[in-house]
Amino acid sequence: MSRSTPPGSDEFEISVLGPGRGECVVIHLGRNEWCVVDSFVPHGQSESAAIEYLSSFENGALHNIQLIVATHWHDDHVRGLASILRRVPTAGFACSDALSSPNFRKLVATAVTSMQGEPGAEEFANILGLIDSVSSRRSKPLASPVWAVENRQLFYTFGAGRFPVRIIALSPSDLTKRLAMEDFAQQLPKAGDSQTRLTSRNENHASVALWIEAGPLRALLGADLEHTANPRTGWKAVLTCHEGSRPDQLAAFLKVPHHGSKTAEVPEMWTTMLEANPIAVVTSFTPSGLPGKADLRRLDKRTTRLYQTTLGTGKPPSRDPSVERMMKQVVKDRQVVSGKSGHVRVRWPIGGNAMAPAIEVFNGAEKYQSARRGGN
Amino acid sequence: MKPKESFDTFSRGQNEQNKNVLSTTAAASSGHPIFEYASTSSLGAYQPASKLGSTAAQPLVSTKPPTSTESENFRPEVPRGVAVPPKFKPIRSGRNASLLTRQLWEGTVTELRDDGSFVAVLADKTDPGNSDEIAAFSPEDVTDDEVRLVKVGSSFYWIIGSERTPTGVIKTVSMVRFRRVPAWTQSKLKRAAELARHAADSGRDEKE
Amino acid sequence: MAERASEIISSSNIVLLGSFNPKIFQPEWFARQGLLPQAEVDAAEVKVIAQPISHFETERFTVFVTEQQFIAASKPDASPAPLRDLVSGTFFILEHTPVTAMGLNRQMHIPMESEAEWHQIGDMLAPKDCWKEVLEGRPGLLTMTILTNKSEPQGAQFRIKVEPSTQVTNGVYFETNEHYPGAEKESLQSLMEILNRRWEEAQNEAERVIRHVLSWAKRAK
Repeated sequence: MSRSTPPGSDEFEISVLGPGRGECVVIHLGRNEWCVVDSFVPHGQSESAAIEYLSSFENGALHNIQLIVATHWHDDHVRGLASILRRVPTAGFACSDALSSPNFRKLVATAVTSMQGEPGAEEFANILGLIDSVSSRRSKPLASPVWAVENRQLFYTFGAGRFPVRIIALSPSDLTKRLAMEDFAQQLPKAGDSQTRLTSRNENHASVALWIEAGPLRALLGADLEHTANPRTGWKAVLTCHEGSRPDQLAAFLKVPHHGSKTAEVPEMWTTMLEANPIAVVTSFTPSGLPGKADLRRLDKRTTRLYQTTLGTGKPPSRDPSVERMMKQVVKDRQVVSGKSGHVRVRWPIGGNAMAPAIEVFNGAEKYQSARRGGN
Repeated sequence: MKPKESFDTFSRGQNEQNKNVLSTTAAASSGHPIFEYASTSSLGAYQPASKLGSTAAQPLVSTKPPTSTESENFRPEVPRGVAVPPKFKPIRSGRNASLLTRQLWEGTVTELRDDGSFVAVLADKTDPGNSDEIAAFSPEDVTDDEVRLVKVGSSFYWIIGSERTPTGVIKTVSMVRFRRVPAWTQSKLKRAAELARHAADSGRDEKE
Repeated sequence: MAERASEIISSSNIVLLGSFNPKIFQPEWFARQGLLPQAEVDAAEVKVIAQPISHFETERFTVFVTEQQFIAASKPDASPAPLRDLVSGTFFILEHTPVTAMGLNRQMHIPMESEAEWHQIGDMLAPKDCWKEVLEGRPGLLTMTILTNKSEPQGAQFRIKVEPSTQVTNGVYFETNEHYPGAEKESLQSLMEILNRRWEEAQNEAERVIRHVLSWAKRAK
C-alpha cells in the first residue's frame, strides 16, 4: 500500500519514524484523529516529520491532531513539536510533570539566553510560549500542558461508531520527578560558570513511557526509559504500577525503549506487559551506536517480529576530494548520522474477526533478519 | 566619475527608502590621518575607494556621525591632543597570505576518552542540508592554550581550507578552534530568571 | 568558480553602529574576558588606544572602535567563523551598550581565468558599448553597488559592490553587506540573536551571490 494512503476510520495505526538521531511516533486514534509522540525535523526541512506524513494524506489529518506528547525535552525528541502546535493550536500537549518545575523554566530561559544555543530547550521555550499565548487570549480557556505522571490518563475518547482509545502515562514516578527536579537545579549555571551545552543523561529516567488502549488492542511505547537499581524509579516502578493497575493486560506492540540499549533491557517487561512475540520497533541513536549488534541479537531472542527504522549509519555526502582526504587524515571513527527517515507502520482493523495487523516499511526501514533465523 | 555627493544624491533620489539609508559596510576612508598609516590589510580584504585613483571632490573631514555600516562617508575627527604613533611594521604581510574555507563544521564534545581524545557531533555549516556526523579527534588537534576548553558540552569549529602562505605555497589545512564564549554573568542569569518568571506569570494570568 | 581558486583573497567583518566607549576595547580586556587567547593578545599590535578611537590588530582579527562605530574584522589568512563569537561575546558582557544597527560583511577578491572573462563581468554589469556612444577613450566600470531589501526583519537590506580588484590581476572585487536595524525594544539583544543565528548563513549567502555574478562571465560565450 502507498505510504500516503490514509488508514480506514476503524483502523488503529502506529507509525514509528526515525533517522539516525530523533524519533517520532504517529498514532491513528480512529476517525482520522491523531496523536503525535515526540518529533524530529528531517534534514533539509523546517517542520516536524509528523507534519510531512499527515499532510501526505491530503484529508485534513494534520488538523485533527488531538494530543502531542513530548516524552522528554532533549532535542532529538522535541524538534519540530512547536511547528505542529503552530499549525494545530487546538491540540493538547502533554509532557513529564518534572518539567512543571520552576527550575526547568529557568533552565530553558538560560539556554535561550546563552550564546551557544540549545535546540531542545529553545524548542521547549517555543512550545511553552505558544501555550502561554493561548492562555492570555481573551475568552479562551486557560491552556496548560497535561502533566504526565505515573498512571495518569492523558487522553480518552469513546463514542458510538468508534473504538475507544485511552492513553496512559506510565512514568515518571513521584521519586523520579523529584530527582529530575533536583537535577535541573544542579544544571542551572552560576555566575562565572562556562557557557556549555547541556549534556546530562539523567533526564532519561524522567521519560514518559506510554500505555495505549485502542479497543481490545494494547501498545507500549517505551520512550527512553531505562532500568535503575531503585525500585521506585525507571522500569521497576512502571512494572510495579502496571501489576497493580492492569495485571492481565498485555501489549501486542512495543516501541523498544532507549534504542534497544542494555540499560533499558528488562526481562519482566517482556513477560508481564507484552504478548508472546509482539511487534517491536527500534529506532537508532547513532551518536551512541544504538542499537548495537549485540542489542539487536538480544531483542531478536524476544521476538521474531523486530523492525528497525534505520540500519547503521548513513553515507557521507560527496565533498571536494582534498576535503575528504583531510577529514580521513584528521579524525577517526567517523560516522554519518543517517539522514533518511525510515518508517515502520502497523495498522490493525479494530473489530471484526480478523485482527491481523498489516506491517509496512518505508524509506529504508527493515525487518531485522538474524543469521540464526536464516532470514525468514 | 561624478562628484561623490551628487552620486549619493542620485542613488537616494532613485529610491525614497534610501534617503535615510543606514548602511553598515566598513570602509576605510581616504585622506584621514588615522588611516594614513593603517595598512590596507587592516580590514582584511577590504578595498578602499581611494585606491581607485578617484579625483572626485570629497570632503576631507566630516563631523557627521556615521549612518552607514558601509562607511564611505565616515571620517572621524581626531582631536589635536591625540598622539598618533609612528608607523608599525605589520605582524605579517596579509596581502599574500590567505585562507579560503572549504568546509566548516561546528562540533559539540559529547565524550572524553581516557587517551585524551574526544568524540564530537559535527554539524555541517557549509551545507546545513547535510546530516550531522560523529567523529573522534586526537588531543594533538587541539592547541596547548585550548586544551582547558575541551569539556563535554563545549563547542568548536573544525575548519578545512586552502591556505596560501606569504611565499605563495598553497596547502590544504585543518584546524580545530574552540569557541571562546564568556562566562555567565550575574546580570545575564538574573535576566534569564526574569524571563522564566515572566513566562510563567503570563501563563497563569487569566485575562477576561 | 572559473577563477584561479588558490589566489582568492577573502575576509569578513562585523560593523555595529551605536554609542561606544573606545577605551574599553583594549587587547588585554578581551583576554581577561576569555574572548581571545592570552598568547594572541600578548602579540597584538596596538595602533592607538585613546578616547575617540581604539584600533588594534591580533594574529587573526582587527578591532576598530570609535564613539559611534564598532568594527571587528577577520584577517584574510584567518577563518571568519570565530569572529562571530568575538563580537557576540563582547556584547554578551557589555549588554547595556546602545547599538542601533549591525552589518554582516564579506569581501572577496576573485581572479578571473583571463582578461577576457574579467571584461565580460564588467560588460554584463555596465555595457561598455553604451558608454562609448557618448564618452571618448575606453570607458569601463569603476564601481557598482546594488541594494535590495530583505524580506525580514523589517528594514533589513542586502548590498553588493563590484569593482575591479586592486589586489589580484584580472580580478574582481566583491563587497557584500547584510544590514540590520535593531529592534525598537532591546535593540542590542535582537541584533546579537541575528548574529548568533545568521553568521554562517550570511557568509554562505554572500558567496552564493558572488558565484552567481561570476557565472555571468561564461554566459555570453
